[in-house]
Amino acid sequence: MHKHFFDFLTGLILVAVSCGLLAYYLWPRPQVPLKATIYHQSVLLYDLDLAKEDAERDLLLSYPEDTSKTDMTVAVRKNAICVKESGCPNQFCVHEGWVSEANRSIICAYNEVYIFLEGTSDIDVYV
Amino acid sequence: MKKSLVFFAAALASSIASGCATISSSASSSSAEAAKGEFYLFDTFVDVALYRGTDEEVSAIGDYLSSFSALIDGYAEPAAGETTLWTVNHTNEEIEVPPALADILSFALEMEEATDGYLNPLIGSLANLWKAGVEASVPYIPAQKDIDAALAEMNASSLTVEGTKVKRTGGAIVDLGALGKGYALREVKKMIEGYGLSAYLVNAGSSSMIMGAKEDGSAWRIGFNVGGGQNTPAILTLQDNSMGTSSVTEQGAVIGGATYSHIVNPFTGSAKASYVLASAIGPDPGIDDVMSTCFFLMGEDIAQSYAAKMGLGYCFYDFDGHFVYSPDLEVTLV
Repeated sequence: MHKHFFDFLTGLILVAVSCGLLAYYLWPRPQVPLKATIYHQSVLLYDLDLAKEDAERDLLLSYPEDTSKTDMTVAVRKNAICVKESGCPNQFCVHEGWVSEANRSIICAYNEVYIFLEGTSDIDVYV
Repeated sequence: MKKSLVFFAAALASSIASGCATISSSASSSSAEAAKGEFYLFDTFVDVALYRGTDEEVSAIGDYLSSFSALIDGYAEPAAGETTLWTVNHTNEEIEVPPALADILSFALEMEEATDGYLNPLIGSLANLWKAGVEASVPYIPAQKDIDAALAEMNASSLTVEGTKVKRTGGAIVDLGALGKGYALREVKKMIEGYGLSAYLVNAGSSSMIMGAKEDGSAWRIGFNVGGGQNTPAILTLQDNSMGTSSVTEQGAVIGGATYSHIVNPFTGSAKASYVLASAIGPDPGIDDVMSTCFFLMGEDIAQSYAAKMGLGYCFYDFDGHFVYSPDLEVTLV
């Protein structure tokens, strides 16, 4: 018994170390909160922590000095954002609806507005 | 006992080594910061992310893209004394142009030949006709007589490039929308390689992308925006490569039950879309940008032969929800 005890102990320690390392690797990491940034051309308009949003609220984007652009209403709620209204002709930004996946974007090319969501996702980039 | 001790030491050492690799890999993926920039150029947003890069390197890329986008803008009049694509589009005289402009025009003519005319750099008038219709507050299909006239004008015009001398004959407008972003990313890729960076992603309006690896050395996972709030139909895994995508989700309109876009067939003059998107994957972003447009027009069957000839991968997503891709790509259907 004494002869094999050390072998048994060796195996036990090996298994314990392996399990510990495996547990560390598989232990769930805290999710990065979903953030939305809203740009007009290259100017940052809003940097929002969507995880902290509660009731739905609207953000008005307006460019009175630029008659080639139209007003837009962006709505935010907990972990989601959408273009609620836009004066652009094709309405593709509105048709996107509520977006809540990280690394997705909503673009209004007509109004040169870019909304980008950052956070944790299995997908790194969308085309 | 001695044998057991040796075995124990070896086994423990290998466990710790593999565990340390695991821990270090997960730690690096959560702690690396990228130098990033967003630029509004080429009528879209260009995102630059350089892992272990610097803000100065991102700025240099932004400066290059800004000057190049101005050079190939065929519609905005440049400052006095400057020669850009606008200048080419406003004279039928032979003119001297900057070498960078001559190079991209030569590339456009080479790709016209390589695609047997599916790419036509003189498509500007036809493209603008459709753009006016598709982007109107009430979208409309241009009158057939106007389409026929624009098509005839395009076919009666020509573009020649000899060194830095360029001559346009006829009234058709040179439009480099199908290749400008991708061609620009060729130079950006060289700049990034010159900085010694291997982990990066540059995304020009989703239509043209270049990428190294992710910060932890793994491949990028790419989803497809097919519009209407739908989830991606597939995930493409890619690294150290480039990709061009032509899509109707952001620039198109539904008229009479069919979808029309800004992507015009140079043979028929029609901009009726048969696909939601088409992508071309290969090491040259300039070729990918051109071929994504051409694949979109050709359809899967014809595209396959060009893809094989050019060594490109491809993806298609149609209006019936079918996602088709070349067998060489690593794709997971969702």
